Amino acid sequence: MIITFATQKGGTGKTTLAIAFANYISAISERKLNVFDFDYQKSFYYKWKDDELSESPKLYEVEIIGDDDQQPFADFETLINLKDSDEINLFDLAGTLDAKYSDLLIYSDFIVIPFEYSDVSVKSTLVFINMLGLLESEAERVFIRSKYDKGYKYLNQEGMDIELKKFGMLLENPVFKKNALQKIDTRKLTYEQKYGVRRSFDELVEYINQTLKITL
Amino acid sequence: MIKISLCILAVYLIYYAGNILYDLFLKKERETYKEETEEFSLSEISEHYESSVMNVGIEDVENLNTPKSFSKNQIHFDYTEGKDERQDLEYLREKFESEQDLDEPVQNKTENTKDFPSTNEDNQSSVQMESAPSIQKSNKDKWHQMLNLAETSVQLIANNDGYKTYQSTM
Repeated sequence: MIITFATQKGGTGKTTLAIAFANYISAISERKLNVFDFDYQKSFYYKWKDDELSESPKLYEVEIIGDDDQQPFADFETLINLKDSDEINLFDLAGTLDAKYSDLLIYSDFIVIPFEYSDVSVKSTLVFINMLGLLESEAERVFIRSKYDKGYKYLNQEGMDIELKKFGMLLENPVFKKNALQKIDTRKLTYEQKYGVRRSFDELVEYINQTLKITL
Repeated sequence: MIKISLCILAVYLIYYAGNILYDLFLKKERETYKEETEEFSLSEISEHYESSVMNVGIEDVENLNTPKSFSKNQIHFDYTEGKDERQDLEYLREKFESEQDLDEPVQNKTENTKDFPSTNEDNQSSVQMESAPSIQKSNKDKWHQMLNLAETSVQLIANNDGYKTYQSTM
């Protein structure tokens, strides 16, 4: 299966959540996890490389793709094989929409879209949704509130939640703004980090299991 | 009684004398003022420019004289005077060759299909290879069009103290 972390704008914690999810899923699932860093900044990959100095064991392999100008998955079969595979293929995309992502966005099983309630973030999330619609993407859209401050009243939350729920699954449990997540690495989740993402990811895993009728 | 009637008479006389004076002097002044305004009226100016003022209708704009075409002929310099015939031959030869160049690929193709049907596929694939960048370009254009459409199909529906709620209009 293909799970893609993507947004139209950067800065919503996409890579952080992708790393957290990769760590989390490798802890709870027996399935092999392959991570593909499709971001031209290669943040995930560099983080993973840096962590090679760490004493903790490697949890998964990270590959970089789309580095050259060639359209990735030009043979198309590779992408379909990844989709049909029982292994979990996790993609982290850049915070911009690019034509080279089109095939992946169409054929992903799930697209996880972290967002905030800021003006810029909600607008670009809707642009991203529109784009997925125009691409006729088959993927299930999963919206996840990122960097959420539980002590704050977001005045546009109610309206935006109604709007987002029209297009996909909005996870009830937000990922709270946690300083612990800033120190995340690709080898382990600390107790605090796990506490920050557990509820949201449990809900996400539950949704994946229900939709694909499998157990991750 | 006589005194009173004399007084009334005097008042009448003064009134009429005043009226006469008013008619003689004040009224005249007003008339002269009128004459003055006539002197400075714009009618003279308008008469002066009458010939140059006219209505410009849409038809006049449509019938404006514009260049009908531009010269497409190349300018030949006549520094090869006396070699007219030779130049003509050169020109004809170049023309013939360029026409032949245009015809050749088609001929080659047909020849290939006749003699070596297998190489025709190579030819076609090379044609495809050539058109691949143009396909990529058109794909990119399409992508940008879609992105534009996606960006313009987002509508602001509420602004709650700076917290904006948007909706997709697609």
